[in-house]
Amino acid sequence: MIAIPKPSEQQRVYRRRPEWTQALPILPVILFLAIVFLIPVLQLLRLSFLDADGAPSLQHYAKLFSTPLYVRVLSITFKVALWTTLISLAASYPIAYLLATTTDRYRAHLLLWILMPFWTSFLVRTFAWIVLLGRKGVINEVIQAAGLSDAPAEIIYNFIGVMIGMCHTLMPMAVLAMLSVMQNIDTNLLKAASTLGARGGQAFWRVYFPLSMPGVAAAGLLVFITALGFFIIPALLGGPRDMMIAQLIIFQVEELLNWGFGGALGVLLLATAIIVFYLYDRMLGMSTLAGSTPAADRGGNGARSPLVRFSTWVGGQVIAALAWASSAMGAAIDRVVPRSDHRPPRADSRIVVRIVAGLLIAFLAVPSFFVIPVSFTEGEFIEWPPRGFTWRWYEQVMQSPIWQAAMFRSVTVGLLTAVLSMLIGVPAAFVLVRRRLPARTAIMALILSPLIVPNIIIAVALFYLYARLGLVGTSLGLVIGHTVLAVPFVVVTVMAVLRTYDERLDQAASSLGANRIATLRLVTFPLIKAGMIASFLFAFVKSFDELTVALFVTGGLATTLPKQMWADAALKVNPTLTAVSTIMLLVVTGAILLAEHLSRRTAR
Amino acid sequence: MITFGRRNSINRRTAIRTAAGAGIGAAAFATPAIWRGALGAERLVVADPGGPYSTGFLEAFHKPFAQLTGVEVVSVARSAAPTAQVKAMTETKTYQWDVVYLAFAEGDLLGSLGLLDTIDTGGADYSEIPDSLKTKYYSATDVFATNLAYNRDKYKGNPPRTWADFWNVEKFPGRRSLRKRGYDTPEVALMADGVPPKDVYKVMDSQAGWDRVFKSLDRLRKHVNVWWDQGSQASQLIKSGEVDMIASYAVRTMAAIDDGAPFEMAWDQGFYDHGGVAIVKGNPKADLARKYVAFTANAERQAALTKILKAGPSNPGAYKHIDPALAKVLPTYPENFKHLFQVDTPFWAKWKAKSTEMMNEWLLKG
Repeated sequence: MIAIPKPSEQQRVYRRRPEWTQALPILPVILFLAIVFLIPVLQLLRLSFLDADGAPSLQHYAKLFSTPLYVRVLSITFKVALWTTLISLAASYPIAYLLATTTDRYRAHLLLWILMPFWTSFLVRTFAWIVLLGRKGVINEVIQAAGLSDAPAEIIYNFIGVMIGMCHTLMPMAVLAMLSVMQNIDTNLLKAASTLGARGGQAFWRVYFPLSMPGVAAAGLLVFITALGFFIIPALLGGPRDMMIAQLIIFQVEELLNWGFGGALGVLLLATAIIVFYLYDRMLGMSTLAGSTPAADRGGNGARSPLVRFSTWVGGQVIAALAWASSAMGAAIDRVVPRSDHRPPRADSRIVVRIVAGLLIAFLAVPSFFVIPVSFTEGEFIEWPPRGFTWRWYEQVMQSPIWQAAMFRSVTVGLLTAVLSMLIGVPAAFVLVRRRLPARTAIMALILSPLIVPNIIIAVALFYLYARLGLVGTSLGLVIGHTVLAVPFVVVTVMAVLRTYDERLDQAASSLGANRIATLRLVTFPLIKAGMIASFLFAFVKSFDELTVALFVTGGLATTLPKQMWADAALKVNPTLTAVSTIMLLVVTGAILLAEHLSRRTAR
Repeated sequence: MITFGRRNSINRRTAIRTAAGAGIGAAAFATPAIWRGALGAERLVVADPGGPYSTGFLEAFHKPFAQLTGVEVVSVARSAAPTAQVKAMTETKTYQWDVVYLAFAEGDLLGSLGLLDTIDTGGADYSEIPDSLKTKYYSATDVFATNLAYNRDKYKGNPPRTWADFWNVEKFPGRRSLRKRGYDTPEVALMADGVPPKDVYKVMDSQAGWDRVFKSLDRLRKHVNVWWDQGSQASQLIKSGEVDMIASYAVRTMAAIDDGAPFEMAWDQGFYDHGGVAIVKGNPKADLARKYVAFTANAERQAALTKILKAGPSNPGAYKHIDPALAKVLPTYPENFKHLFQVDTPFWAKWKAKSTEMMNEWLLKG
C-alpha cells in the first residue's frame, strides 16, 4: 500500500472530541440489553444456585455433573451446531460468491430465491421437509422412479435429516452475511493478480478468499450460535440420538416447573458457549470478524500472542495449499482438455460456480415452491401429491379477521423490531470496530448471549419484568422482546462489513469539508448498504418467525403469525398454514420487487 | 422465587403511562389488546391449545355461555405446556388468562403448588363427572387415550391387538413408531413384556421395574423406525404411510383416519388421561370463572364438543346426545372405555423427572 499516514496518527488531526465520547454510541445497546435482558435473566438464573426452600445451594449443579446425560447432550448440541456451521458455510460460499461477482440486476433476482425460506414459517418448512424426505416422500419417489435405488433412501429421522433442515434454515443468513462483505471486495484486485501472473485459482485463493474471511467469520459465528439453540428441527427430523440441550431446558422449565435445574442447564450452555466464543476470539475472532481495522492490525504492536500467530500461520499455509491444489487441478484439466486460445481460463471456473451455486439455490427455494401446490389440496394434511384443487384454505384465511390481524401484526412488529435493532445495533457496531474499548470481548459476549440463552428463559424473565412495567400483552413489549433477540444479528453483520471498510474514506470526506452527518449519509452508509439491508432483514425475520416470547408476552387477541400458526396446528399441521405461507411469500416477494422497481426508476 | 414487586393488575392508565414514558406516540400500541374492550361488557379469557380445541370450545362452551350470562368468552392460544406461564401470572398477579385448559398432570402439579383457585364443586353437572376426572382445582372436559393404531390394509384379517403383538416383529413385520418420551412409552414397554395393565404402575415404582422397562425396549430398539416427539408429527406419520403401526393419541390418529388414512385402532391395553379447565389463582374474575368451569361439565355441552374435537366427554351423560356412529370412536364410549386404564398421575408426579432422564439416556445409548 502507498504510505498514507496510519489512521491512528491522522485521527489526532481532525478529531476534536475527547476519546471517551467516541465510545458513547455503544451505550444504548448495553443499557438496553442490561435492563431488558441481562438483569431479568440473571434474576431467573439465580434460582439455579438456590435449593427448593430458597437457601443457597449447589445441588442443581451437583446433579448436573453427576448425571452423564446432560454433559453428553451438551456435547451433541455442540456437535450438531458445528456440523451445521461447517456445511452451511461451505454451501453458502459459492452462492455468495456468485451473487457478489454478478451484475446488480441478476443479483437482485437471485436474492429473491435465496430469501424464500425466510418467508415460510419454521413450522411449515419443517413439515415440508417431513413430506419431501419421508419414505414415501417426493425425493424418494423420484429416486425410485429413476431406478437409482430399490429401497427408499434413509434421509430423515437421522443426522442427515437434521442437517438438511438446519442448513436450509440457516444458509440464507450465512449467504447474506458473506455477501455483504464480498460486495465490498474490489474485483480489480483479482484482475491485478492475474496480470501479475496468478492463475484463476491462485488469484481467488490468495487474494479474494482472504478478503472475504470477515464475512465467513461473521456467518460462522451467527450460524453456530443460532444452531446451539435449535430444538424443533432435530426433534422432528432427527433420530433418537439427535437430542439438543434446549429441549431438556424447556422440559425442566415448562413440564416440571423446575426453574432451578432448568436454569442450571441454561448456565451450563451459556458458560460453554462463552468459553467457545472466547477461544474463537483469541484465535480468529477479533482479527477476522471485527476487531481492529486492517491498518491498525498491521501497524499494531508486536504483542500478538503465540496462539494468534500460530493460527495466522496455519491459515496462511491452508490457503497456500488450496491455491496450489486448485492451480494444479486446473493444469491437469488443461492437459486432458486442451484449451483453445479464445477461451479465457476464468470462463470454465465460472461455469462450475454457476452450476454449484444454482443447485444450492434450488435447495433453498424448493420447499417454498413445494408449499404452493400443497396449499390447494382438498385433503386435511400437508401431503404430496396434493389432492384435487380448492381455494378453501385461502378462503378460511381471508375470511378470518384473526389471521389477517396476525399477518398485519407480525409484519408491523417485525418492521419496528428491525428499526429499533438498527437504531441501537448499528452505532454499537461502529464503536466495536473502530474504537479501542476496554472489555470489548465481554461486551461482545453480552451482545451475543441473547442468541445463546434459550428463548423460554428469556420469555419467562421478560414476563416478570413486563408485569412490573405494565407491558404484558402489549405490542411494545413484543417489539422490545424481539429486539433483544434481533440486535446480535445486526451488530455482527454490520461489524463484518465495517471490517472491510477503509476508514480513510471517511477521513477523506471529512478533509474535503463534509461534516459527520454528511460523511455518514454520502460516504459510509452507501458503502455499507448491503450489510445494512442484510441486518435489517435478519432482525425482521427473527421477529417474524419467533414463537416462544410471543406466546408469553402477547395477551390473547394480539396474536402474531407464528402464534396463530402454532395454535392452528394443535392436532395436525393442516394446509391453512401452507396457504398463509404462500400469501406471505407472494406479499413479501412482491414488496421487494416493487421497491426494487421504484428505486431503479428513481435512479434513472 | 423471583419477585419483581407486586402489582394488583395492569390497568389502562399504567399501560398508557408506560407507553408515553417509552416515547411511543400511539397509546393503543402499548395497551394490552385483551383489556382494551374490558370497559364494556364483562369478558372472560380462556387459554386453550388451539386448533379444534379453540373452535370446539367456542361452539360448545363460549357462545352458549355468553348467551346464558351475557359474558363474552375469548379464546387464547397457549404454549404446549402452560405451567410456566400460569406460575408467572400468579406470582406477578398479571392475569392474561382467567381460565386455562390443562392436562391433568399439569392441573395436579399447579394445584399442589397453590397456583390454581378452587372451582365450584357443588353443581349438579360437576357431580355427574366420575371422581377420577376431577379435583377441587380442576374439572375434566375431555378424555384422551393412547392406544395402538395400525394400517388395516397391511394387516388384513390378522391385525396386531396388544403391545406384545407390537413387539412381535416376526408375526407382524412392518415399520413401527413410538414416542421418545419418559412417559407413555414405558407403560407400553412393560405391557409388551407381559405385565398386566393393572400392575403397570406397581411394577414401575422401583428401579427393578425400570430395568425391566428398558430391557423390554432393548428388544424392540432396532425395529423402531421413527421416534415421534410432537403429536402433530404422529398424525403426519399415519397419514403419509411412513409407518405401519404406532402408539399414538387416539384423537391424533382419528384426525388422520378422518382424512382417509387406512388405519384402525386397537383399544385393548390402551390407557387414558384427560384435560380440563382450571382457574388461575388470585384472579379477580374467579367467581365468574367458576361459573364457566361449572358450565363445561354439562352433558349436553360436552356432547357438542365431540362434534369438533374427537375426544371422550368426561360426563358419561353426554353419550345420550351423541350420534352413535361418532360415539363408537370416542375413548369414553363404554365399549372402548372398558379396555382402558387410567394414567397414574401421582405416580408420574413422583417419577417423571427421573424417568425422562433414564429414557433420554437409553435413547442416546442406541
